[in-house]
Amino acid sequence: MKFKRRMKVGNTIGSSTMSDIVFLLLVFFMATTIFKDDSGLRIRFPQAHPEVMSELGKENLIVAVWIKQMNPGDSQSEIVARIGDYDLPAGQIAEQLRRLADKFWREQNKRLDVIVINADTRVPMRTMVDLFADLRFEELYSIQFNAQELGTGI
Amino acid sequence: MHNRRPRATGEFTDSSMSDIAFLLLIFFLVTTTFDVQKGISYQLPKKPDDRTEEVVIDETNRLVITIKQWGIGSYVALVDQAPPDGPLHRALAGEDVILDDPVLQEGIMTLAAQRAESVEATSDRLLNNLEVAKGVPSGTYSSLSSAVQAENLSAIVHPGLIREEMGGSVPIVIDPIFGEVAFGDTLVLADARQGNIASAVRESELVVILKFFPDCDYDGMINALDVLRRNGVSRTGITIQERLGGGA
Repeated sequence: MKFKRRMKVGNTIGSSTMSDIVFLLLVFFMATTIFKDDSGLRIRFPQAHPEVMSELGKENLIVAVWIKQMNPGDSQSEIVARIGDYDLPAGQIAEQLRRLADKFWREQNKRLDVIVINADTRVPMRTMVDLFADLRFEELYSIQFNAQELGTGI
Repeated sequence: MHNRRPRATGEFTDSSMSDIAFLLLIFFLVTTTFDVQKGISYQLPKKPDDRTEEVVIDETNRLVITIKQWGIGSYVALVDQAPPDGPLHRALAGEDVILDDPVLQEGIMTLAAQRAESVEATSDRLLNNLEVAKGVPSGTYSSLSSAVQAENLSAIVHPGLIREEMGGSVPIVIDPIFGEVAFGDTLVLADARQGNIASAVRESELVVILKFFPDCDYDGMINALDVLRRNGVSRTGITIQERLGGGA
């Protein structure tokens, strides 16, 4: 009488299905990931020499403000600003930033470090100086004027 | 006798798959660059309150420049007030020049260098920055040298741009902790574990007040700040040129 031979136990793990799993995950995340849209306004950045510019550390708590004219180049044009997903008139920027700073302090015990200003090159200085006065009034003093490195094009 | 042909199996070898994956990973790690936004940092003056004392900037440390738009992307500067003994007092008095004018730039740099702060003033700021970085209350260390010894820090000097620009005429001071410190250099405190901990630049005491015409655009302000920073001026005031007959 013949006995059936028992199957041999191998010491390897089949890994040929690994690539299937990886591709499946890849396709799944590619299909489902939604990148947060850059909510800034379309602006023309000013240019500055790289040696006068600094970049902010990762540990800094910042809020970016976008400022432009409704009709760029028209000095009488209305000014629009955006903070996060909210559009607001230029006169309310400082007030909104103060609200945000208070919220960060209340909810996360963190101090708002720097206000990053992304303003269009054509915004008139009277608007900017008014904004500086408002920021001082709200006790927000640290600013960074974002600019492109000279020669990198617009 | 015939050689037996290798039996066909239903598998393919995937041992090289990891090599390919790592190769791709390393390629993208090396080539990917994240867009880092850079800009000019600026500190607004503190809001005046009851305790604020009004400080009048001495006219020997004050330079007032009016900036006016001159077509698209072009700006002219008029030196309103300059220190009486300085280079800009006579050279450009009452004259509109473009912002990039070499005489204006050289004058600003010379004035800034003449009014370079003492290394002690920079060291005091550095000590303050160190205390903030360490999270200790102000006044923890009695002096910078005691802090350097207590924390086992190394004192480094990073040469600034002004040193290159001015060559031999840049003001240099010998400091017991840092050695040779020129105007515009950055003093850095570092330790072996965390690297750079605190830094401070040897600045100028010259204050430049920029008065912009209300219609001058924002680009003009960035241009003016760029010119000032490149020539060693870090203390700047920004305001609007009041129209004739009053009103801002």
